[in-house]
Amino acid sequence: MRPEDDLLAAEYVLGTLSLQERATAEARLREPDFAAMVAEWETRLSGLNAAYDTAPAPDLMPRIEARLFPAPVKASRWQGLRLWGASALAAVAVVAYLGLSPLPQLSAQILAEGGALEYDAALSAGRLTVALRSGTLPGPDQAHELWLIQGEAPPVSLGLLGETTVVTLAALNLQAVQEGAVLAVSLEPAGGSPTGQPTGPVLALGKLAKG
Amino acid sequence: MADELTDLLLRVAAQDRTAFRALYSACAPKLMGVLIRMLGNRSQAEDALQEVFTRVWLRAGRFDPERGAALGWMIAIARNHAIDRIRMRHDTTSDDLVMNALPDPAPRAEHRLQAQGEARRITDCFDTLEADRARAIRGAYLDGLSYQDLAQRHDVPLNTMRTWLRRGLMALRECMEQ
Repeated sequence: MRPEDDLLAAEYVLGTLSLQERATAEARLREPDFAAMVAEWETRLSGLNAAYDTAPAPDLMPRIEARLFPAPVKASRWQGLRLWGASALAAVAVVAYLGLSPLPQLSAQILAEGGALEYDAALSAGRLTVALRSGTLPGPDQAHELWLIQGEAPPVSLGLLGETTVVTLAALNLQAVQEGAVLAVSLEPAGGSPTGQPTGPVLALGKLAKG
Repeated sequence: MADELTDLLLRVAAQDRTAFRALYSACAPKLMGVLIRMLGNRSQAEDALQEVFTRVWLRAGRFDPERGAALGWMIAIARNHAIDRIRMRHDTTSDDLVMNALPDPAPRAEHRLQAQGEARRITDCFDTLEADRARAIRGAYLDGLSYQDLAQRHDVPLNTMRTWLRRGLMALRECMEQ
């Protein structure tokens, strides 16, 4: 065991590191040895948790659930499709696909090489929830922008990312996101890409898969 | 209780929403306590609690009951999120943070009585450390203080604080391994 690594693990768990040092330590959680050291320190110091009092917590479950499991899109919303001239049969098929049948949940780990940045994404009922898992958001003059890449089509912006971001695909006219689609995060100027296509480096990538 | 939480968390990993609600009822007050203590105000703690449970849902699949208790796993998520928030605002408000930090509490008698396993070992081992170092480690863990905050609070240079704390941590590890 490298003593410096063990000390870094201890300081990470203790929480005394600066934001940058924390990001460095978090990136190293992908190394099994380092992750094991962190887990050992979490256990070692967990006795201190007894000193945290409990506090009344409001019922935030409705808000949390609304974020994680948005209600399926109502069928009536899609009946307007008929007015577009779609055949009744096709409209029924679209309704069945979008709203009424429980869609399989897709998820993705959007990862940077080396693990310095990771977002977790979960797609359920047309809403994509993206949460920052490791790494940090850029400074005030830059932003992380999320892109959807399906097949050979050019990337479609899903918007700018915060710590947790919920994207409603229907609002972007993106109904059919398929398994195997790629999510990518690029570094852009504040406010997002000025061109509608990624202009900065692609920082992290992940593929949507079932489960 | 511990087994019950492990069971709930494993069900959450299997996308069981009923278990997720039960887990919230069982653990939200403890996590709220952690977040209020670290963040120092209720509205931020509520924001953070929402974020923490979102992460619990998204990451439950990575919980490994062999490696630790369910509540400890969730407290680690809450602490890490709180520390990130504190460090992010730290750049602009480092002085305020030190002023607002809660006073360092003495371990309560009831906690000593309740302490079991790791908890009792760590309490005993804290008693073997120099008082200042033990206080610094507790302050860092419980209140999310950085080296800079600790150095100011104890009125020593930052590097001295880091050396103190690292020695204290190593002494703590040795004591707990005995």
